Amino acid sequence: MQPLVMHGRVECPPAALLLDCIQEMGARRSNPVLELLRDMPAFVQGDKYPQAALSFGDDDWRSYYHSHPVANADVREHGHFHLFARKGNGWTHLAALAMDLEGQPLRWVITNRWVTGSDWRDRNSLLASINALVPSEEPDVLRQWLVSLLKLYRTELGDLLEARDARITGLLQGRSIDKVLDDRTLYELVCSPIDLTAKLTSELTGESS
Amino acid sequence: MGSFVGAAAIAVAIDHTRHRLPAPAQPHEQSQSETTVVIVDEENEPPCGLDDSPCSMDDNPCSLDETDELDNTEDESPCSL
Repeated sequence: MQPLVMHGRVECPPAALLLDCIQEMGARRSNPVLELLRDMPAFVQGDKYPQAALSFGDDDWRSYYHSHPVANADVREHGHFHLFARKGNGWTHLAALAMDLEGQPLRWVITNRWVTGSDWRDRNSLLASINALVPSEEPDVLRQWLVSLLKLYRTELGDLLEARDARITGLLQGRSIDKVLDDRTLYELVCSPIDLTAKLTSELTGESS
Repeated sequence: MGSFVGAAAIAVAIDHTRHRLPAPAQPHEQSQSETTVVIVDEENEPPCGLDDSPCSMDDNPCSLDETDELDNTEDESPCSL
């Protein structure tokens, strides 16, 4: 695996950095969700962790984790990270990252606009925000893990955003786009499963797991 | 740096991070006469948003950000910031 040159400096591939994060967390019997909940007295349904949202990506990204009942939810899901990218003075929701009961990534989910009440952005603009992320510049293992994962799944997220736009187009049927994006009967627009072992194996060894 | 590793080593590394997460606690105790109702309301704020700027006063402990979404059926967006 060759180092990449990003922003004029050598940067390790996201798969290698992600594996480093996983090994670091594994060594202390932790995982991304436990990293977040480590010092919390309790994990309460509906509350956001951390409460003020995690800042990363040179303060151009925010994330928090929470759990709440969702219709047709996957029974394996414990909760999800919401990931937001800055857009001017506001924020755009990129996707939710659902985590299973053992703290492993389960799937990417793009929700309808009303769910997060954030600005709507086109696919290419969101992918550019992912491109600007530099995992090794993040100050701790949780942020590095999040950023590495976003970089590693950039292509899949691009495909998912494309599927989002196709779904929205299919739902218009004479309605305005705002009507569709604010339709409270539509919670989840598209999703994509995550098999991290297979993905890392493919990226780091060239083999299929 | 995690380069030049095999598939088995990757699987083992991931397995070492598999730890049962705490079950979410209910926000607060409810009396038997109380019922949680989630109403889909056109006027609701988005339930999972960032609620304006995450560094604004919206994040203070008395803002709508801190309101329990299950009981708040009128003002909260379920996944806002």
